[in-house]
Amino acid sequence: MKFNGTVNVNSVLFVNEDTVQIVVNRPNEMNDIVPGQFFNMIANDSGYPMLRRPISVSGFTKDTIEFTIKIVGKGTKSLSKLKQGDSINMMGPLGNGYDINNVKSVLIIGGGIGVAPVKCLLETLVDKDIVIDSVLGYKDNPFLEDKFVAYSRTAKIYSEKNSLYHLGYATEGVKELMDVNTYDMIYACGPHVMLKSLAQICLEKDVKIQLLMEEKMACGIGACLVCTCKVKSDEFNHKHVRVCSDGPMFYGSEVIFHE
Amino acid sequence: MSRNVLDLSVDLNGLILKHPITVASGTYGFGREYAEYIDLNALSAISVKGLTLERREGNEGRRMVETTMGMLNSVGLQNPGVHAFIKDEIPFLRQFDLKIIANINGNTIEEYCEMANILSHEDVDSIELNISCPNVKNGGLAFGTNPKTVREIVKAVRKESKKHLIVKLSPNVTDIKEIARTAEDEGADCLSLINTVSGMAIDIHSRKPYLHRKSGGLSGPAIKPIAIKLVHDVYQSVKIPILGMGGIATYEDVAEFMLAGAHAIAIGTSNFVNPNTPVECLEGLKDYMSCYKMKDLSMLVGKMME
Repeated sequence: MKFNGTVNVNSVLFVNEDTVQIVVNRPNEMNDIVPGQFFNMIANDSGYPMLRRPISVSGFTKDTIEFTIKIVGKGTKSLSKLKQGDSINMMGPLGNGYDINNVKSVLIIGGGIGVAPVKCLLETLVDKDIVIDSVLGYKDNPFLEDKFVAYSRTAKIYSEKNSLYHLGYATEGVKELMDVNTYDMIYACGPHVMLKSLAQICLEKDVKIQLLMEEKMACGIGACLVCTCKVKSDEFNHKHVRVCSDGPMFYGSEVIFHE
Repeated sequence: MSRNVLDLSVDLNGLILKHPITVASGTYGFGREYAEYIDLNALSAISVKGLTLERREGNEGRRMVETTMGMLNSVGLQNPGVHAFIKDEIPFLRQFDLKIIANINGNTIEEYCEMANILSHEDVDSIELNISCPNVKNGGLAFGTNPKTVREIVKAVRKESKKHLIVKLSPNVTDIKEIARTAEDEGADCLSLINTVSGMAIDIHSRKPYLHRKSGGLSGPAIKPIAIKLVHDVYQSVKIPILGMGGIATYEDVAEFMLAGAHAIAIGTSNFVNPNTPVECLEGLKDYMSCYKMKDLSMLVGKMME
């Protein structure tokens, strides 16, 4: 049986005005966590909103799990109101995370709240004799950037507004780094439009990229079929696979992007 | 409190369930995913994900938006097709002590008939004729809203199969009683209701509907009072048993459906929130019945006081 139960909130910290970091205790009976995996959670006894919210892991230890949550609607708002000592009901870890086997030189890319799951990835890859470069992109001020700066060979930080950093989009920094370095794997999480252009860049340069896709979910375990990703299929023209249980990690080469 | 004397079994006119708690089509896949969270032996039956003759990829774009105490979905019958169901899913489900209800969908009456015919020779316990799916272009709801087409399709499918036959009704009709009586007249063994309620939601910032197909089917606690009323209406109009559903999340909801006239119930959307809902509903129902000294479900079903 997979974990479905209550955990206690150890700490709640706002990293900026609309992003909150919640650390919960990690039960012993829980399965191992892979960066890129998520939990489907609901503040206990909230009753409303009705559905759980799928939240990626932004870090973990043997005793704790950290989530960094952007407040975008009622569900994330209710999670942001939790206090130390409150409880969360959660199922997981869910989905397929990043494949980190046999990599020696990687580029990690995070956009906005997409920085959260790749921070977890970064923490897993350090001290493994792997060369890590990173590019982070934000609308305004950066958050969760410290460890990327500390552990990357090169860390480029982009902001659309704050001129203390590179002004512009993360994709520009990605192109620059890919022109001068070779990577055997690229990892990304961020807005759909960013993932779409990264997949295109990697296709042109023939480099593998693992994307963490996002979609509205209900069950989170693969039963309800509301969170689909369109992928290429040899047998059929295309297939709708489940972001929650077939993903959320997909290779850029397999995804058919909309718009 | 002793509960030993309770008899929870229910006979849906040929489909005998060990207790009245089942799970609704489209909310439980083929049971595999939930088997990692609950013991499937705890269910009395599963109505599997809506099947079609050939595999379907379902609808494009966004398929779900949460609304107040409910959700709108527009999945569009994504499923592996009836043959893959027979080959891969029936053997899996047969490991458990539950009845298998095959929910079938088609573009034409001929397709429904072909599926019913195929499944007649397979190891399923019941066929649920879905003439109420709001999320497909052809078939589905189009069949279920007109008494004349309901008559045609139920008659035709009844001829193809001797299996226990459930007809799943839509709430999106003017007079559900007439539809229910028509299905009964043409040989339905049982009626299941309600399917989702047609609905729509618009993003006020982009000014676009959230769902790619604009509208979808509303489910969850938001629709429960609609379902209770329709179960009550149908119970007054037919003699065949009712499998009630629509927003059930607690044992209180189960008892309410049964008082309105449901002989058994199905849990749908609440499985997404709490996979343990069927177990909790069953335990709660037992306590409720014991509390009021009921020995079996006949003391509850349709026993609303006026």
